[in-house]
Amino acid sequence: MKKIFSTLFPLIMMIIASIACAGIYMFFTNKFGQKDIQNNVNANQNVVKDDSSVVLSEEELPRLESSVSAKPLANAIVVDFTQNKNLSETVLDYSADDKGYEKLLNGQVDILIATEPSNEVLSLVQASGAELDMQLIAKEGFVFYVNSKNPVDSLEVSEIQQIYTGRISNWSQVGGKDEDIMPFQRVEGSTDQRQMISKVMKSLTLMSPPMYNFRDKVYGNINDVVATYDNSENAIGYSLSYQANIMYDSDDTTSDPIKFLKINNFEPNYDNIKNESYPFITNYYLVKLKNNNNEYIDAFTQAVFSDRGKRIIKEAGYIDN
Amino acid sequence: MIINRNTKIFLIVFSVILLICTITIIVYTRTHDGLGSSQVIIESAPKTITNLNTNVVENSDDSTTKGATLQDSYNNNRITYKYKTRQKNNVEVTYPEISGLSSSNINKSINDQINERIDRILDSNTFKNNSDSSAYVSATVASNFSDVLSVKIFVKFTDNFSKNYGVNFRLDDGTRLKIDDLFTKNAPKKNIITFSAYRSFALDYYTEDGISNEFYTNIESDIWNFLTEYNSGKVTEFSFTPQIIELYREGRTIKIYMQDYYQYIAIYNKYKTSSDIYEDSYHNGKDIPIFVQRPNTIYDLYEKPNETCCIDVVIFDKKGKNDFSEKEMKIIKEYRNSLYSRLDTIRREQNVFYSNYVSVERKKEDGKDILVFYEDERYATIDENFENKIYNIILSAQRDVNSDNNPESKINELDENMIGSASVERKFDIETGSEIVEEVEEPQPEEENQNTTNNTINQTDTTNNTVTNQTTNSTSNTVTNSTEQGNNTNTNGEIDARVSF
Repeated sequence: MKKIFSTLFPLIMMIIASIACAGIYMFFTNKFGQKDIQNNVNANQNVVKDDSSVVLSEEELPRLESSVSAKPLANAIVVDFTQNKNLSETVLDYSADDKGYEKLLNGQVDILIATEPSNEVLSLVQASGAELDMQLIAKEGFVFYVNSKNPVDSLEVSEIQQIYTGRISNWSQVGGKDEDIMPFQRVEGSTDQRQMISKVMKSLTLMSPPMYNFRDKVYGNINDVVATYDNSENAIGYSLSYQANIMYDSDDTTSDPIKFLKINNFEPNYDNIKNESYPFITNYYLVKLKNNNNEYIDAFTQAVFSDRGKRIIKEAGYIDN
Repeated sequence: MIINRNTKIFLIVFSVILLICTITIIVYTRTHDGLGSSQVIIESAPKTITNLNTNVVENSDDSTTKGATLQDSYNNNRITYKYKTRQKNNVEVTYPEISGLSSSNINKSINDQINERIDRILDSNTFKNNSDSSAYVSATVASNFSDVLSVKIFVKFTDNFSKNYGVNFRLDDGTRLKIDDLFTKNAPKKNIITFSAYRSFALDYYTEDGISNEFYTNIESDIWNFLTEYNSGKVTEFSFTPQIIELYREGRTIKIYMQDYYQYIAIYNKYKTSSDIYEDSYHNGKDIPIFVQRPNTIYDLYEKPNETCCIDVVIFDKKGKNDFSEKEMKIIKEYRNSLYSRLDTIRREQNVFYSNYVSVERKKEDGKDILVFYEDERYATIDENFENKIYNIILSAQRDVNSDNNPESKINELDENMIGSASVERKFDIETGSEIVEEVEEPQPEEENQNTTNNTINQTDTTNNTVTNQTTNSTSNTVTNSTEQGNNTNTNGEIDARVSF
């Protein structure tokens, strides 16, 4: 008995010491409570290990087009799968959504990365007799923002609709200061404006947008330009979240950043967009014509829908499907 | 205890080694933890976008958070510069050569950097592949104040294509400025650039009928592209005047009107140095209100000797070349001294805005090379509320970047009946430096009275504030008083205090 104990004791002590050290390591490297992050990272690492060897040459790429709003997404995909930072500028064309669809229908491109087609595009598709093959690849929040000094943090969908139809015109009507609301819009034909109409306003009619007049030394008086969001304290604006982050400061370290509004009390964050509890979500599709037999389409599509493709989408700042 | 001594030692050594290994791994993990950044990317893409901007200058200096106020003023630098011309790859290059810094090394370094930048542009494939025989380079000083210097480089590639570049320096050490150096540390630069880009690009697409929807889409796309490139650190070319920051990228220009974001503008104060970095002690342009762009002058005086008196005097080359010889500059300098000494009377005035924009022109007359000085003297006075009724109106006009009457004084923004004026023309022989005095014909008796009136100027006796009339010395000055009599009379029917000579 004594012999067994004298043999086991050091072993037990060694195990206890090892566990203690592991605990110390976990504590100091803050690994507790970060299971999700670790899972993400592990998943990403596995993905890289699985298929990082796939590198597509310029010749192996189908002819690609992307809407302007999906530019970072398309760019990230091309850069990662070609391992060439400069190639995306030559192989990728960018245009407004509708124009991209027109190019696809005309056979000028093989694959389009864009939001869903407008009614006008659908009519064109029908008239051409073509059939679109659309696969959802990523999601993004369609966000509303105000100046960070605005005390309003959240709006209901109906309140947004009433602001943009002009029925609510003062911030005090939605719990804010007694100030007129300046509801900035995006320009007609842009992805943002189309999303605003289709996702938010639906059958309601948007009020006329604020206009902007200014004087220029060279051009003289410039009148009636659709005003762009100016982040004044009574302003509200909207756009796709990625675009908002590109164009505006939302970082607290800057003075006067923008503040993203909760909608129906849901923040436009990763989880709420992924599980679609945030109400305004924009989908991005990989679109091709069903009868297009370009030999490189399948390889590219498979690459985008692989685990590695999902990682690229996440890292580009979009929500993977 | 049943554990023998050797086992105890082994366990202690094992534990110590394990602990050391653990600590080493912890230290390594904490210093090389790349996984945390993956989390930021996944959970919070916006924050990674901010970090992409490689222009960010980490400077803990308090001045980086101190913006300007509309009450601030600035001094022009005490450097001088001359424009020179040279050839590079068969392309004509006009560039400024600066001098006047006490450190000859910094002087040389700045001049070298300007030329190196130009040469790099001309040696680039972009230029070689896109230019034709009409190409040229024109580098000009965009601003020269608060111990910083901005040089704008205009490159004409072809008749239809040109691009702007910029090189910008702090003068205390000759190092290059970055875009972020113009702003306070906390400035919402993306907001500022987006709004400015919208305005700049709207102008590109504006027609008499407004902007079509298609063009609006182009504007949005252009802004998106510009901001994406700015965020990834690709927008590095810029120049600035005291009023406008211009950002350049691929032939596009964004103008940022500094006054609109004055609380975030740091460049007026950030690099001002107390040490004497200049050779010359003479200040050419001092205490100028910020966001006021002075005309390109030979000499510049902007002064508020008291709360309700402002003096705005410049001497400028009528042809805008500033290419006067030493002899000519000596005459101009003497003229300046004489002019400035005349201002002592005005400095003691109250409720007066005085401006005198003096143009200098080289001419040939009777076979002689002469310099002609033409004084355009204006003055406005008021009994009370000088600040609101005169000064702020003129200041506002001076700060209006879209008013296009430089180098004319902005005093003309006032109602005509508030402005008195006089004009003087004087000629100097360049060779001898002496003034050319024109013979005045003996007036006819009936014209004599009229001429006396015309050659009479009013000067305020500042000690008792009474108005005295003094006839000009017609042998030295040819004075034509362009002010109508009505302009010299205030609402009480009395003659206003005059400040002309």
